[in-house]
Amino acid sequence: MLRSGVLRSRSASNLMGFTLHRLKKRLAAIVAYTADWALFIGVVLILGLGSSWYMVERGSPLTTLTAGPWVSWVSAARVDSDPYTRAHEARLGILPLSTEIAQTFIARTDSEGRALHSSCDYIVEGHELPTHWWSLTVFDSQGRLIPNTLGRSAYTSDTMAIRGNGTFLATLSRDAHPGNWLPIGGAGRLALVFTVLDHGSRSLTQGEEVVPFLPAITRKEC
Amino acid sequence: MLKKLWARVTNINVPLVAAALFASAILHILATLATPLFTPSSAYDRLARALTANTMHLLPEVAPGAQPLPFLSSDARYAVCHFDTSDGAVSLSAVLPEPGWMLALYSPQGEAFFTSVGTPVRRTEVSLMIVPGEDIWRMGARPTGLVTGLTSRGTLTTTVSRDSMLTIPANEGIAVLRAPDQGEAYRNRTLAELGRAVCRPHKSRTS
Repeated sequence: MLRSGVLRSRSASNLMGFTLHRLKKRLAAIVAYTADWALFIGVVLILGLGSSWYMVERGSPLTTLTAGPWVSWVSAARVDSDPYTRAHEARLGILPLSTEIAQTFIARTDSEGRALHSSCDYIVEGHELPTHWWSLTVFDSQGRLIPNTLGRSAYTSDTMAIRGNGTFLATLSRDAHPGNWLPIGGAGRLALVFTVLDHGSRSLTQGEEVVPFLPAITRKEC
Repeated sequence: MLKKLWARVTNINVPLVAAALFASAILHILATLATPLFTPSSAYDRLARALTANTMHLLPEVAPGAQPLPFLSSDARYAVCHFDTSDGAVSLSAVLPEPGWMLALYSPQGEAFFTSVGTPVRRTEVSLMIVPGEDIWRMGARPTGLVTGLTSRGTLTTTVSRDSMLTIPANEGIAVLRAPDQGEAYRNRTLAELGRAVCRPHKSRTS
């Protein structure tokens, strides 16, 4: 009587153990399956959205022309522009000049790759482009003009003081400087835009011909 | 630890990885194409909303706090026309007297489907009749009479002849006339030239 009771209790505990083991295995399988799917979804989101964001925000050699700190979207505002360029323009909310007639370069870093910031002074030095109209404008990182008492945010080929040897030098700083001075006080991160407009000569705006004329941006002090 | 990691790597579910890459590519394409659609307000919308249709507007000087669009430089003055051809053709004329002057016609998608620039050798006069694509046949014009290829670089220096007809990809768009800032001394002359630009509903000669 007692023996049969012990046997029954042992088989009951075995059954319980077996059921627990099966439950554990099933739970592990569910966790592994869920983890695989979570990993799958994570990879898809990171790769899909991340790569799209990068291509729209930064561009690639297929969509942009990069020379030092200067970046230009090569098919901006064109009828045959690529989806990345269209998305880039939409994200920024801009109506750019068409690359049919102009090249617009934007720099967010100095020539050594350090982010442009209003707490530093910069020298922008370049060569005049005698056969092309061009301009140099400073914005904050969101594309807003920087308030200043002079109301000055840009120099053009008509208004920039050019040196005798055909070069120009502009200073970006909080404090006033003699010569071509662009005030940047209180703006935080900066974006510098260099625009070259075609005269219809078909020589410069094809892209890489502009590159040797792009000004160098040198940080002086912070 | 390394062994475990290696075992995990060798146990990769290849079909799942391939599916992840494929799904990533699909998501990449969809996200890129959808970006312009999910932008709350495009540059075109912001400009067009503020303008009366078929009238040339001289925009105030671009200044801090008074920028119609981000990254719109203060290196120029702008005259803008929101043209709408749903009630008929629109006449547009402008003079590009010097280098730095530019006329561009943008579609609602932000494509510049017509561009012309000022040249150093002569004053470029642009006079266009803008008609929507399907109207060209109703108006009796022959396709050979169209100004074609205007967006190609080869025609940038062409002085567009009077009454040239330009078909547009949509019923509406924005014409931007850009005059470079040449300094205080030239400001009045620049404004006068911009003020001469015309954008108005086209009146046919017979009516």
